[in-house]
Amino acid sequence: MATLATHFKTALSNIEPSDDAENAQAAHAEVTKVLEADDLLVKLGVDPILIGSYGRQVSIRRVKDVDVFVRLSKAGKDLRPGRILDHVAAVLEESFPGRVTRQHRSVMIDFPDDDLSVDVVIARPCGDHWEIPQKIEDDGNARWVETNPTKMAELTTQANKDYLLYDGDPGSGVYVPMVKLIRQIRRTWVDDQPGGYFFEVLAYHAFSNLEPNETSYAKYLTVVLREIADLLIDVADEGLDDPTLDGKTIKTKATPEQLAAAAARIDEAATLAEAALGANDCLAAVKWRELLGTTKNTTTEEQVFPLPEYCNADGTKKKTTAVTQGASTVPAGSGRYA
Amino acid sequence: MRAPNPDVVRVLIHSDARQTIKTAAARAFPLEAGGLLLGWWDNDMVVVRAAIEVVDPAATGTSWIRHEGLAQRALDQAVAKFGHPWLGYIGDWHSHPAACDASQQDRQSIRIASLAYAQPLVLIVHRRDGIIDIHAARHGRPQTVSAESI
Ligand SMILES: [Zn+2]
Repeated sequence: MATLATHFKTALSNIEPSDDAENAQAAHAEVTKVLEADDLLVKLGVDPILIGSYGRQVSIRRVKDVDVFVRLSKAGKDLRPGRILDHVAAVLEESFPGRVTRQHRSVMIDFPDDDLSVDVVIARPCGDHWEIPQKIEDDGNARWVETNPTKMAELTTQANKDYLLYDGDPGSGVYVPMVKLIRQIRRTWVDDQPGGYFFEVLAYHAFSNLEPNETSYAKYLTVVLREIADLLIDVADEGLDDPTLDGKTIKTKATPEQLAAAAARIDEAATLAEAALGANDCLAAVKWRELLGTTKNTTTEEQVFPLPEYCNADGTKKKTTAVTQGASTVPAGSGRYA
Repeated sequence: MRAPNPDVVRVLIHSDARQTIKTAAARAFPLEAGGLLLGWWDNDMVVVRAAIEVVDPAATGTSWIRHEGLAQRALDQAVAKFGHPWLGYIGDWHSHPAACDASQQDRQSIRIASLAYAQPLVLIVHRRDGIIDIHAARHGRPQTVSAESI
């Protein structure tokens, strides 16, 4: 059985959105600064936070959009979201001329140099939770709907503490890495819909159902992917429970046909993972490479899972006499470095 | 065919190793962190594929010591965990909480350590400013390093 720990680590760093992360952070800071300088928004108690996969640190390369949740903590019941969105769009247009689009329920700012966009969503308090406009009418009034965008971040943090690669090592949280790998598998195996958040929630349910306790990325990925494949079959009929709001389900743009297609593809992917887990080293690596595919939306598509140095691309082991394995013993005694 | 220069050691450093060192150095600051370099020898080249941290409970801002027992246990665990047939001990790393290169003591320690191995050992010093200083020693003698990153 091949768990290829070193190579899974490399695969994870290959989908890490390192440059994107800095750009996203900078874009968010610019937008926040503009909103916090506006008198009307200050009166409404403006308090923006990052949400979305980037905010939860489960995004993968490339990050194309960043969601900013603009809490208007002093907004009253009479707030007209149509009007306030117009206002937000105008304020942003002044600082980002020609780059602002007023959308149906949000305002989008383009950062073309970074190939990135920031989506601004406004929210008002309602008791102990937040509401966002669900549908804005022609007169600028809206129906509001409860939302809890920070709850998923809390669940994510907790799950990453609960599920560890190495017992007793709190730095070895495996939930976040698994969500990233699942998102990458979705991009590779599923056409467009359902989207990345839908799969993140599927991964969350898979972990809750299985409470897995494995010792390698390879095993975690295999069991979680199989559970997601099984869940997808039921989801087509019953919808997917929203772990952040009791009794609600996750909205998806996916049609029933797309859900069925995704279920079939993920079943295939799970079978491939099971085969990889059972195969010898080099053959396993070839299967993991097929499962994880290439990076998406990058200038050059790169294989996410590296071919181990000791393997040929056809899954056979390299016959080499040039390589000397690293030593199996450390130097005797102690070595002092200053 | 060009005969390899016996005093030049090519060192290939994988980004996984750099990342591990960077993270551990940041976590330990203002104390030094340190550990082992894992990889293999390929002809005249040393491949640094991974790094592991070995905690020195007595580390200070100017000292990190490789203790045989702790280091051997860390190596055994890492080799078992990584499941890579070529991985083994090929040298040491430690961090400097200031922006300075390897000290006299540092270069001497890697030279002494290299006496027990047939192949060259590598020393990586991670400076506070993010620059890494790379040294190598073979049979107790310092070597010129030609380093590349992957
Ligand atoms: Zn030093």
